[in-house]
Amino acid sequence: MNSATSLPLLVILSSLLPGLVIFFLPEGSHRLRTTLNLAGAFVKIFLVGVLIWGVFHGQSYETRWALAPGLDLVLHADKLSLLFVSLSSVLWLVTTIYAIGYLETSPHRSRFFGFFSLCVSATVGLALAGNLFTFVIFYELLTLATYPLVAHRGTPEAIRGARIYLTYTLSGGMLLLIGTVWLYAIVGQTSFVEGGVLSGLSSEYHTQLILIFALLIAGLGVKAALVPLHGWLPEAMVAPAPVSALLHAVAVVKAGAFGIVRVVYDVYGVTFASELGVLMALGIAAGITIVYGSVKALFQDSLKKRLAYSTVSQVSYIALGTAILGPIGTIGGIVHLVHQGIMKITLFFAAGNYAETLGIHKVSEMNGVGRRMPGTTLAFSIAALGMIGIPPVAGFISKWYLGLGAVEAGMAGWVLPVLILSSLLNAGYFLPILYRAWFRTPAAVWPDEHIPAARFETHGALLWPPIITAVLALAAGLFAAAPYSPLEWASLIAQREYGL
Amino acid sequence: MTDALIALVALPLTAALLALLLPRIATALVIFSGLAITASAIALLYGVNTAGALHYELGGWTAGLGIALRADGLSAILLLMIALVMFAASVYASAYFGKASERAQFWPLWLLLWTALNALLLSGDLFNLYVTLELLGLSAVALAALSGKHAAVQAALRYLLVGLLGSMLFLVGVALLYAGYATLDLATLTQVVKPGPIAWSALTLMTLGLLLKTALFPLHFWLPPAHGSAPAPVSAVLSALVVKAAFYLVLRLWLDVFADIVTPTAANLLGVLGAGAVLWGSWQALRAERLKLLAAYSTVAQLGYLFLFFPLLLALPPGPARDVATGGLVMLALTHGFAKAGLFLAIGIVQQRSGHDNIQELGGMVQRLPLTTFAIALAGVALIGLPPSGTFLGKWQLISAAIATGQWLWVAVTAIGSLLAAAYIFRILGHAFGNQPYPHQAVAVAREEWPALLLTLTATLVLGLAGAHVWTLLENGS
Amino acid sequence: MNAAMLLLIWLLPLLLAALSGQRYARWLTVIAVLPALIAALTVPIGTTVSLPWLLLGVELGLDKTGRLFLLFSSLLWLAASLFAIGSPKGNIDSTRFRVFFLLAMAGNLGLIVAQDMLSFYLGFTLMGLAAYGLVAHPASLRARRAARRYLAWTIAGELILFSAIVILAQQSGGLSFQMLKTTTPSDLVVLLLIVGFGIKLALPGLHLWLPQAYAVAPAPAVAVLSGAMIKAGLLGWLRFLPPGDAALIGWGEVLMVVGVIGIFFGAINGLLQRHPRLLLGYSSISKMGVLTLGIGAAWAWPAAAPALISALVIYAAHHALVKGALFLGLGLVERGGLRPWIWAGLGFLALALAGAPLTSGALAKSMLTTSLPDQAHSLLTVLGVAAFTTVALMARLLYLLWQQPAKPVAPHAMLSMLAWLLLLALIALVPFTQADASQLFSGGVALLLGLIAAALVVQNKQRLPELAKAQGRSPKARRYLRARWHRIVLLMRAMQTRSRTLGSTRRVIENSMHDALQPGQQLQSKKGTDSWPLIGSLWLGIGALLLGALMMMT
Repeated sequence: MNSATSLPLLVILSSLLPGLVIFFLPEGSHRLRTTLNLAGAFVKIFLVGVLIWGVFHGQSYETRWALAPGLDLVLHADKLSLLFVSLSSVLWLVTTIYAIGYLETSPHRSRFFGFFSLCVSATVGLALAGNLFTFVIFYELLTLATYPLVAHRGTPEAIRGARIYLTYTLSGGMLLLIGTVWLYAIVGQTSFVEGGVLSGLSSEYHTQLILIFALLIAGLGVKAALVPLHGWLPEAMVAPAPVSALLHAVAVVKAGAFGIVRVVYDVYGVTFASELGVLMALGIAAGITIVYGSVKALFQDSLKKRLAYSTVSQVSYIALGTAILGPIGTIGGIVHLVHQGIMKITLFFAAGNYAETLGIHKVSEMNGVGRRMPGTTLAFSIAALGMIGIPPVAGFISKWYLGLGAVEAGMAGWVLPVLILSSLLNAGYFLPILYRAWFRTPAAVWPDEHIPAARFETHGALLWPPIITAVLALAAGLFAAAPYSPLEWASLIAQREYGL
Repeated sequence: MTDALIALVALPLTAALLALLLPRIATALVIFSGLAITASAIALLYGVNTAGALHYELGGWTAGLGIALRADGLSAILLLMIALVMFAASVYASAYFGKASERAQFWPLWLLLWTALNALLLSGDLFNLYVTLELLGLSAVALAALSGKHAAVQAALRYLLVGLLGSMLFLVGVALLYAGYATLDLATLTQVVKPGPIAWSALTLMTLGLLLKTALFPLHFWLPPAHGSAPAPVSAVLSALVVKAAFYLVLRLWLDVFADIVTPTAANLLGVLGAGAVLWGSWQALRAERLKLLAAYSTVAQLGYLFLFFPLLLALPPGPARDVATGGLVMLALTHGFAKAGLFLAIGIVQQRSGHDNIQELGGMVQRLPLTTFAIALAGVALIGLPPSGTFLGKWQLISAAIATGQWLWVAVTAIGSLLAAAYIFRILGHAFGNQPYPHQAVAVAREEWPALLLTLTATLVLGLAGAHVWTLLENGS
Repeated sequence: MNAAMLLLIWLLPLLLAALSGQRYARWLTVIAVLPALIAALTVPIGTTVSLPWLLLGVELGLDKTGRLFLLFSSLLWLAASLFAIGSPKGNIDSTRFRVFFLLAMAGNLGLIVAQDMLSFYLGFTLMGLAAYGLVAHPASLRARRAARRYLAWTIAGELILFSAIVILAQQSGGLSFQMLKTTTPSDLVVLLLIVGFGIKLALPGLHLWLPQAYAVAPAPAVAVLSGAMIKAGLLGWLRFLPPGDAALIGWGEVLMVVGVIGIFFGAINGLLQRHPRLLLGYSSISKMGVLTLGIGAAWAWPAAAPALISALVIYAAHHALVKGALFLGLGLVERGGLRPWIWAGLGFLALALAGAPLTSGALAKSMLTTSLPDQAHSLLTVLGVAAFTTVALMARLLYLLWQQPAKPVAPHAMLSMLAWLLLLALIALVPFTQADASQLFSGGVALLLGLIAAALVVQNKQRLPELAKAQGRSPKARRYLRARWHRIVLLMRAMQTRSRTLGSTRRVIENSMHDALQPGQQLQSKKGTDSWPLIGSLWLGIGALLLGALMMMT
């Protein structure tokens, strides 16, 4: 095995192996567990760095392993997968640090971090999947690895939330499976190829292909929380904050969105999908989801639920970008994959900090929290403004490209109003939070304050992750046109996709 | 390689006799012979893989009179599964049965069962098959009744009656065939059998007998109580192997011997029964209150999937497409064997430690035993058919064949069955995360936990990731 | 060096915003504005900086328009900063206020030097949102409401602009303002831009955020809001919809109508106010109407556009400084009470705003009128009347201040007073460096007429027994009367009443003496202030007469 064939596998193993070891560690061995976690995270980032360097220099990386006749497990590094891989590995590192601080005293830490690593391994595998079969495998593994994380608290609500999560995702997985098998039955084994592989099929297959598309999108839409398949997301909010952060920013929701991107671009091909008419349907579903999620978010007092509905809305930007025919819309969708991840993880980190440090779970309890926890609240504010799409935070860049792409594709008539409405609604549910945090006078006593004023406003491991990700969110927007920025990357992907 | 053929039958038989005579060293004997049998199975597999199907006539007599042993890819791979599962269950049983007297009763029967299983898979003619089937049935009944409890004995008696009925039906069919074609050798029969009343009625009778034994819905009524009340290692083997042996015979008859005379309608009937098994079994498993019953009903359901393949296989033209689908069927059977055995072993641990297997009250216990719970989870993954288990690959082929032949009903059944499976598995696993207090100290024994864990790991990881070899083996060994 | 200055203009306030929690942070706001001031004075026109890696590629540059904008904006920010430093501790001398102040400053100054759509939008948004922090700063319910309303309108404006820019970027194929000069915008884009910037410029109907925001925000914040930030809308129009395109001609006419409506809408409403700040706010709306009118004219008559634009920028500069200074002066009054010298200063400013000879107002107005093309002589009439209404408004302002001296809450801080006086001196001196004598003496007629009218009307405020009765009725009736449109109905009725009493000069003089001798009485008498709406209506009557007279003259 040389590096060209083993590197993608190693990227997965770099989190899988530490995860497996961690399962068997006793609860007390805090230091060893932390070391393993961080070592795995850094090794992964290093390996991903090597991958990126290689891919940008024309090297091809592929691990192939036959599982059955005509069914190969293929791990392949292309630009789109690397975008997602680097997002997940960087955010994994940050989240791990955060989780170490967050779960410092809670029970079952070995179990937690074990599954945490498995979850990231599954995500990375999903990102590197070179064909739909491999994608389905990691998609299901992700479901399995996240279930224990959602149920981690062990309360009846947690178990209930986890069960609902599982019901949705496994059903979705089944639809995805059927769709994939059907597709294989028609075209056999195909890798993900830029521009798609189906456009050559004769028109007698078109009806079938439309049905398959519906199945695939329904299956992926469950994780991507497309309305009306989003019901699990608010329920899964019972999970600990780092899990929610990971679920919303990198792992589950993003996996669904990433899958949609893959199916449209690398299986169907965006032009062919548009000819089939399925792109429009996807776009409308995304548009409805965007507005619906935002409207629901307006009425949530629970901070995490508000963020959850915000995710419902924001992730569909990716689907929307996918549904816009033309390179600019594509850039908007793909780049939002990264941008939403960074911003949303910041929001969840901050929400976790409020809950962990001051016992704040509700928006109505956040009066004046900016004075007590300025760093956290600043990070939250930056991310929230980004979500609304205020420049120069990353979210604006996504919105800009989506809007521009829509105008270019002649879809401005409904995409722009959706974007505007969503931004308004985003403002409607984020700005009151910011107002409360910065301008209202703080309550005399916080609901449940249990980290005494130390050097920082809260534990250092809790404070720095949101600040780092907020800075990333700002940088991703501010230096969008700089080389190696997510935008640059998305542009390269879009160029390949449209053969420019 | 023929040595391996003989060894696979002779070794367990000799060991059984020795264990009867020397109960004190029986445990060590079982372990050593188990290792030897496993080694033989591996050798056989290697031989079949390199040299194709094997054939050996015992004592040099030709077919018809003597005992002929034969092995192809399918039987070789099933033999290896049997060896591994039996060996793991033996290690487990050595710790499970605490008292020497229990072990003294257990080991000879256990080895006899092993002999019957191996012999059945190696037999090449119908009469020998009948004999081994009978031997298998009797030893299984004896093992099931071993605990001596009222419920167990009652269930075992029912099991005995059903088994005898099944054997009788099979025997009548064999007799009909002999009367019609004057041969019992499978290979010969394959060539001479012609569509007609004899073949049809013989096939019907034999199939009916075997369906009884393999507990296909709606003939499954005896299975849950029998499997649910037997000792854990016995349940494991009954669910994982014994029913599979009968299924193996159905497969042989339908796809090899009577391949020319089975009709799509008949196959569809089997498919419908299989679908019924999947849905009913899963539903009952979901409603079961006891862990072992849940696992037993799950067996009913899982066997249903195997029968779903019949209409598909018949609809596919012989050739690569059918071979791929057959591989999927074998994969399902194998994975279920490993997973279900591991599941029963794990359940046995939970049951022994907590004194009951009432699902509602297991919260603390499953947390007390993380490895065992992990084994249950792995088995669950395989039973649901999630990747990377072998079941996933098997179901993939099932759905793929169904779509290719346009039989959408089976796709729907598979999908619903899988979701129901997920529902009943996570009914158990949900308890693993609750905050219930631990009932009392429960220490797991490695000899019990590891066999379960390794079996389920085989089902979920080894079979899933090395699955391609199953197909090559079937191809090479035909 | 020059390029670095262009960067520092917006970078320094941003960087300093990060430091504003430090102990010696009071002077940061002053330091932050210095690069802009220096750049406005030293950086040559035509300097450009290109930062392709920033955002989606940022272009900065200084042109003639930008330079003047930069000059007056930075001067105003400087004055406001100094004023703020002089404010008592604990109120606006807080970290939060400084952060938002600096952010708004960065946005405002940044958008002036922006040479591409996105940088402009970035600055515009930063300014708009940061100003929210300034409006919301006082911890009162009223401030909260005002700030929320301000924010809602601002966000709506941003989003409308976003749509417009997206479409415009697609049409022009790039983001640079250079490209827009050769792009014909679609009608939708023009409409979106008019509305989007119109919110910032408080066009009638889009102004609803303005009065309350001006009423609650701290004085230095209102000064920059009304002086500098509001002008960003004007700059936006100039940058995004440069005159010269045939597609804009029709829209220019629309804008002129809107401008005229704005002038009178602002004036009428201003006259109806009792609170000096509200009055000044409406005065701003009226003045923005003048600017809107000017832009409309520039669109409609492309040939006259270059001259018009210069005049408009001068006008904007004049208004920015004067209005800013007026608000700072109001701030002084609110803090330390009305002193005669403050009143005098405010009087001077009022004269300047009204365009009295020898002030910047005269210069601005004469430039504007002379740059209008010949076809537009009807606009001259409108501008003349507008000037008259301004006089009326200013007279009303001074009267109000005289009537309602704010209770001193704190002694005057030297620094604040100094800042204000410096600004005053600047306003007083600038016209003499720029203009020739004829320009400085224009507009005298309107002023004179206005002053006479003011003298007439101020006396008559108690001549309305029927109104006093109406005000004294049930609370419900009073609330009803307060409804603004109803006041206008009252105005109509009052015009009839007034016409009967106008002739009685004797009584007018009597009353004026009475008022002059006993100013305190008005304070105790609620009726006196409540009767204002009718007096406002009188103004209108006189205005109508004057309009007729002017029309006959021309």
